[in-house]
Amino acid sequence: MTQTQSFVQLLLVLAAVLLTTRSLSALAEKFGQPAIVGELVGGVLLGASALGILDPNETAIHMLAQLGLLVLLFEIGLATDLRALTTVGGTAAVVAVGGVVLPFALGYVALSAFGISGMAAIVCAATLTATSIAISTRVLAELGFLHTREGRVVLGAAVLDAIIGLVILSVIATFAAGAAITTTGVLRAIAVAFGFVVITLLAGRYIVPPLFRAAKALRSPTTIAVLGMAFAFALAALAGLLGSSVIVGAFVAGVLLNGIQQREDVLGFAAPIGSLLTPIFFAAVGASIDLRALVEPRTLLITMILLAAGVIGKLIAAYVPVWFKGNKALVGTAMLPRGEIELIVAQTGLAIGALNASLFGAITVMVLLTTLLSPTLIQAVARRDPRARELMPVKLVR
Amino acid sequence: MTDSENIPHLLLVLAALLVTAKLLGALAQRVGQPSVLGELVAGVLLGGSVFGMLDPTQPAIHALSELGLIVLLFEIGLHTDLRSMAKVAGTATTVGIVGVVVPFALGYWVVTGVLGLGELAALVCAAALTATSIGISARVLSDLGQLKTREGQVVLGAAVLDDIIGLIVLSVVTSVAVGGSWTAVGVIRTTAIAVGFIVVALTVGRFLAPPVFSSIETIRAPGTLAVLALAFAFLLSSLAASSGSAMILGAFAAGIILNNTAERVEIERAATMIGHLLVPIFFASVGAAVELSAFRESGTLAVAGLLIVVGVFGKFVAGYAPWWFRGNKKLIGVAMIPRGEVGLIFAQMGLTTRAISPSLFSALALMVLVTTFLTPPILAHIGPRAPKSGSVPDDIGIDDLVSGDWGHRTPRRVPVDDSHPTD
Repeated sequence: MTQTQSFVQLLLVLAAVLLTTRSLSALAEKFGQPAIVGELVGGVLLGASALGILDPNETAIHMLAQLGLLVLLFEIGLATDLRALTTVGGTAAVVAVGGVVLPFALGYVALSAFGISGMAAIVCAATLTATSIAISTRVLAELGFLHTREGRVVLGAAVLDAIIGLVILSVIATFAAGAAITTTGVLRAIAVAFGFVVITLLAGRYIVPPLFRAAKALRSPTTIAVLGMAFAFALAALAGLLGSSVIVGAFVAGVLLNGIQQREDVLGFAAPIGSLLTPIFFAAVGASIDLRALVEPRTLLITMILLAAGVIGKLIAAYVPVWFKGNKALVGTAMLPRGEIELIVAQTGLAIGALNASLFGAITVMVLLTTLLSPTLIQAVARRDPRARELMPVKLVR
Repeated sequence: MTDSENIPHLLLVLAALLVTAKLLGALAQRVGQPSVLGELVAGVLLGGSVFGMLDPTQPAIHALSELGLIVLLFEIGLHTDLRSMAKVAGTATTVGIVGVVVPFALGYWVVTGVLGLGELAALVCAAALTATSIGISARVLSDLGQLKTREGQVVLGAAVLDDIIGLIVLSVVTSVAVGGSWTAVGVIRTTAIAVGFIVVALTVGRFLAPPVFSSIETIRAPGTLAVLALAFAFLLSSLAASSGSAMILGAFAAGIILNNTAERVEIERAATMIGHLLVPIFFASVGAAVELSAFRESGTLAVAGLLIVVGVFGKFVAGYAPWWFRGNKKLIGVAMIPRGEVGLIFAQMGLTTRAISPSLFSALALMVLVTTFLTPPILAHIGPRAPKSGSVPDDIGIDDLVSGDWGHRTPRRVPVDDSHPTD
């Protein structure tokens, strides 16, 4: 009977989480901010440092949050068109790699100078690498710059960033099991993570389309959509069992299904499930924040270091491809927004004990600040571009 | 963080469950059976009896399947028009009460008189015989497009009533089984809470929900409406359970309340998608709870046979109890037969409190299994024929549950959506 009682409790927590995150993200969007801000703040309110309703370590909540994360990565994958890389591939690749390496190196050096070293510094530096595809794309689209050269470079670089970020995450997760951090160990983990992505993407291109063409015989779009979700679960499980991160599998599954005919059906199925489960993940991240650790001066200082390292690194990376004749400042600022992946990395770091409450808090505040500030910054840079008046804004609903 | 390594395993189970349930569901539809049958069979296949992959008592699976049940009941509620239900209230009450009293009395008599077992075992068996699986009944009826007919409304009303009565019986039998005594006051209290909950929730909700949800409508963020509607369902379910009534009562009431809001269609669309993911987990869990090994013992089989006869007969006559009703009584009687998860809950309770022997538990489980599995094909046989077009209807699953209209189920080719912009 205790199982029933705890389930009743779970329902109440879920209701509270959904009500709070939804109202706060509606409020955030009213002020032109991404919904994720509202969800994080909602989590902070419900978490141990304020109301104490939401315990992110509770088994069922943890499981639902993980599922929400998977569905989110699946959705991101579904929206990721690898063909975006082909036209501006070289420039995008340079911006992406530069945008990973420079913030990582800057962050690592700055933190080491500050007396933080080892795994903690690596995890913190890793949270500076990825760009939030969702936020960048949305802001650029609203300004009409999505289909310019700059837009394509940002999109391509953000896609590569996400893949690199996920590989970094897998590497970190490998050492979660307590494996000793050696050079060969790191190289092996990178090889496994990259190998998984490359092999599944290559093999999947030949296997997935015929499979889903055959599934048309079922003559039911919803059934095919459910099968698409099951495919994501299966690939995620495979990635997890091979020692990579489950979310890598979900992302790759989404990328693979991006090319099938029934993509819209799968997307239409995943979206409502994501809107139910994904806020649970971000609320759980918010609930893991210890507000008391945040007000310490040391935490604030670390936040500033991380913020500076991330911004400088990303901006410089945009100027690395010297041959690119577009608006480099725009590319640089558009690469600034952080979002899901760094929070996932931070969450993993917290779970494996590499981060303490203070560092975790610093990272989440850094992510919040970049998310809050970068849309305004991108707008300011874009308005000074001579083309700003001619381009037609595209309003994306998501 | 031991559960972090369980996540890949859980995902593997979920993937296998969804693929098997959906493919078998499609197969079932193709041979003219409701798709829920395929999902139940998928559960039996993946469960402990065959592959041993799906363990319905595992906390994560349990939570997901219970969420599935709540979404299912919420959807049923969304499609329950209180006015058409009120028209058949008398009939439904009669069917519900007779469908409890006859199987209970017959079951009690069979276990004490024929099998010569004790009073406690008889109480558990008799109680397990009273249940009606509202999930399976409603799902089968909607698979056949009968949910919105008068017969469908009678079955739905009677099944809800049976759930409430079942709850009362369960609490009474549990207190007897653990050695306590039960009082008339306790029975009346449980009844009053259940009835009071529905009345209060519906009255308050009818006034509050339409203005609240139409103000939510003004928030143009996609998915907000449906997520908040589900949050409302979770809230009411939890309220129902903590006020001492059944969880599913809350989910059902939440659906009924939102039935007359202007935003119903949009809520339903998203809830349906979520249901497509979670409801198969519920039905597969019901299937997975079945022990196939019980089939091998002849003694168990004989007892199970007796219980099955009582179970089928008791519910079937209930369909004929409202003599004044001029509908398809056979349909009502058959639709009341499946015991489903509710019957299993009783059997499980009896086993854990040692009120019944493992062999008797297997017999009860077999009774539940047979009544659950027999009903869909029988209903499909006696119910109105579905148009034989050779094509599998487009929306398998909860859509049939909610559409309840075969004509509605033309293959969906990117519908021209006038009510809401797609994202």
